[in-house]
Amino acid sequence: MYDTIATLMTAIFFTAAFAYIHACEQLKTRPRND
Amino acid sequence: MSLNGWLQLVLFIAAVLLLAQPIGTYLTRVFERRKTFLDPILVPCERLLYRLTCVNPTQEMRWTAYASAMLVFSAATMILTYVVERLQHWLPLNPQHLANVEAALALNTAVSFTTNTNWQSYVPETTMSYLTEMLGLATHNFWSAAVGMALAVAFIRGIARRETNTLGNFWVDLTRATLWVLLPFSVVLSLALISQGVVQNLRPYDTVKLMEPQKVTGTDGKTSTVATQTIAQGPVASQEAIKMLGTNGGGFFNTNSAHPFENPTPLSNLLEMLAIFLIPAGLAISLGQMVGSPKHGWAVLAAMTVLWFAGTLTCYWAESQPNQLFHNAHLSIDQHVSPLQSGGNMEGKETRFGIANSALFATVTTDASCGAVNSMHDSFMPLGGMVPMANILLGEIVFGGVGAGLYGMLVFVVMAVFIAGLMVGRTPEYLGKKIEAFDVQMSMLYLLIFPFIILGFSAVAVLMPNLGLSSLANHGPHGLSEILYAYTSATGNNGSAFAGLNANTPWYNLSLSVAMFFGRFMMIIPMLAIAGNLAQKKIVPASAGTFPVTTPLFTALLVGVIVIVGALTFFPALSLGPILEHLLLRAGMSF
Repeated sequence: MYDTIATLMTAIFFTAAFAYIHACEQLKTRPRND
Repeated sequence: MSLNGWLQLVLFIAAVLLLAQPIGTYLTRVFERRKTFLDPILVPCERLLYRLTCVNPTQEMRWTAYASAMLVFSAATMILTYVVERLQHWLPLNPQHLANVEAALALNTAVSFTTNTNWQSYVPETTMSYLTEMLGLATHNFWSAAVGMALAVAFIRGIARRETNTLGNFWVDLTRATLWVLLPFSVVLSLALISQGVVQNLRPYDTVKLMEPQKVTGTDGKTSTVATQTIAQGPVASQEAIKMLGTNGGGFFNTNSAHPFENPTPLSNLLEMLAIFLIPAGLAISLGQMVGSPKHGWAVLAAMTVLWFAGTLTCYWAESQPNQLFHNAHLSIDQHVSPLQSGGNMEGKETRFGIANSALFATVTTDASCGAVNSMHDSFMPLGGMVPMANILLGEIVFGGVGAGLYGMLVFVVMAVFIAGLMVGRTPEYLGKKIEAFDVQMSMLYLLIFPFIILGFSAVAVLMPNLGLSSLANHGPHGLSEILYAYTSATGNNGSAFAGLNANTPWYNLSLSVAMFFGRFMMIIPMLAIAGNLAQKKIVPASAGTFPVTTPLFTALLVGVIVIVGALTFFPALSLGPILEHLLLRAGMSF
């Protein structure tokens, strides 16, 4: 069971990290209203 | 505290500062791809590696590509380690026929070594085969440190470059950090350690007959006689060298650098501590050289040295104090320093190293993200144990981990110049680059993720008795310190432990894995985003309103920002842990 959990956690970790890169990049390029 | 102890502290920091300049100059040459004396041997190896891996070394990367390459590399190497651990029983180089590593522990260890944490929820000599130690773990000691150096150099390029959107090539930086820096330095240090008696072999463990057989009572109440002792062997020196140089810290033996096969003499102890600070100190000098302001590198190094001194002084003082409980109980225990004894609190310390070298090692290993130990931090006096924890809580930027310390410090530099800009009412500038909203947002993200993970997980562990408290050895404020230290060490990618917590449980293995992973990568990404943004900016000429970053005033402001941010964030948690324990100890209570 823990092999499955480990696989899932690894997948989630790295997916989250790639999404995080995208989110940071979006934050930089979003239009500002200040 | 003794004169002998003070002299050893002075000798250590003098050696670090003397070596910083030549090491820094060498690192600058390596990462600027200038000529070095190792080129005739290493350039052909480098070219061959690029050809085999289809890497184009002239291709430049944006920060997003740089971060993605780093993640792909980390994922691949993490999976490799996990697979080796899970299959080690059937793989070669396992003379003790050790079983496959259990899955939750294998995940924890794979994440731990990939993230440069080297948190060990296991006893290495009875859990990991020689193949796992070498292929699964020692390789990560090189790779994770090389990744840290590559990232620091990318950040420096972000500051140094102008009007470009690239930070270099991750694969080239990774390769050069490994081939030119970590491998040759490790070979030299390994040989030095072998000369001091550190073992290096692939033999099965030795079994020796005890001179005096011992009667022991097992947990089942049965008494038996133990007549033999198993003495673990292995390729220790090679792992020990990169363990310290790469600020990894994962010991070949459970007692880490307190084991005589890992750290046999006072000289090996000094070399190991120097190895921790060598590359981080050199990188600060490289920062100054690569951005064209050597004085700025020295100003940053000065801030690191001031913080190192404050931590070492506090820890040395705390551990030199007599234990109040012995005094209150009127036991005739002499706790004063004399030619025959170290005095103070010697519980959990090696008599070979004494108070000064134990306090210094504990401070150095947590200033950097090393995590190796030559004494047991759990046995320190409350305030002495608070110092290693506080060092990690500050972000391990006092010299810091290889690369990780410098880029962490540079985020604080961005915050310091931002605050200085606010104070004089001007747009803040850092070495000619204007610090704008995005840079500050990313800096705050970097600084806030860290306490969020540490305090969040610690709170959950404390509030869930079946998960967080079930494997705790001590209660009260000391128990809180053990939990807080575990999540601090994991999130800070340090890896040292307060020994009173058994972390080899499903809850701790999995939650610490999450803490280690997010503590590494979720901080790297905003840091790289700042670097990418800085690289795009124009250089603004210095004016009367520009805050100089080469002066003692800058060093003082930087130290102030680091201490205030750390104190405001973590003082409440520390006051419930080590500070409360200190006060209760003085009132005669222990935990």
